[in-house]
Amino acid sequence: MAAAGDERSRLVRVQGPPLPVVALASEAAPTAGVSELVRVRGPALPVVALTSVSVASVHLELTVALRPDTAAAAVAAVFGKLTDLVAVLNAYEADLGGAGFWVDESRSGARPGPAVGLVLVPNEPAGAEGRLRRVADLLVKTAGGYAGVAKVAAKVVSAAAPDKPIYQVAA
Amino acid sequence: MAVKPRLRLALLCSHVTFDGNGLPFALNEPIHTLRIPAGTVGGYRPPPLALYTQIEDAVGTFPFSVEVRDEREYVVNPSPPRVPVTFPGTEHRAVPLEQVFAVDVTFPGPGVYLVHLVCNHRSLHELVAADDRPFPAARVNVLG
Repeated sequence: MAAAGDERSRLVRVQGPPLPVVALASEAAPTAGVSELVRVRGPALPVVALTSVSVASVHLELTVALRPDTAAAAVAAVFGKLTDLVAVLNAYEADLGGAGFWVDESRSGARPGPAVGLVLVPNEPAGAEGRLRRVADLLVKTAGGYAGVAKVAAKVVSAAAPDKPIYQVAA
Repeated sequence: MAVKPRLRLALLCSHVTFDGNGLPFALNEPIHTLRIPAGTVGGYRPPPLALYTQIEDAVGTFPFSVEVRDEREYVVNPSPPRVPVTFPGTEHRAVPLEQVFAVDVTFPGPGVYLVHLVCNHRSLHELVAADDRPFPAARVNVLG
């Protein structure tokens, strides 16, 4: 995936061998003479730029610390519960016309401790900070009730200042 | 051994520009709606249109034809002429063949028509196997 900014690679298209144009006709012996081609067009529309790279500037980091004697399977189960909860949240947001969140899998999962980490990135940057604060409260309260959990903490972090959380909550 | 072609993409336009290697370079004047010129008698037969296609898995010789169907999918030109087309094998199976067809079609009158590319008596736009992902036929609105 290309990094955001001005870095661009060349467009290199790979094509197969050149083939001759093949003429097909809908009738073996057309009776109608050839008429001019008159295309009917709609209004001119501006080009819309779309990007596959998320432009979210804030994200949520959830850390669930588990008891030291927690088995690996139980750690995985906690992560599964959390991702299931995010799926429910996304479905709820979708019903309200929202864009939901995506789990940054590169920064989420089981961690030494043992612990589970979850990083949520909003799909819609507008109003993301407020929504993430509410989601942080919900996740901390919910995960705090899971069996085997010792401590739960969540913080909303800005990409511009990752060491200075915008919002923190713990249980 | 012939391997049956699968249609990956089919776009109708007025003409295709080719580069110095004979490969399609630009698709010109994409077509979705046409108007029958005033004074046209009988069917409307525009100049040959270009059907740019990307075809996968085709090796060997196959008979091709073009079918014009109305919006109920009834064929308005039964028994169109068939043309044998030979596709070469390629080293990179993932790279589709780009085949341009110059289609000379006659539309009976105003209406909505589907231009189907037919190979071996079967429209390449129709689902045959469960894992098929055929490209839809070009839909042309013809206005009176």
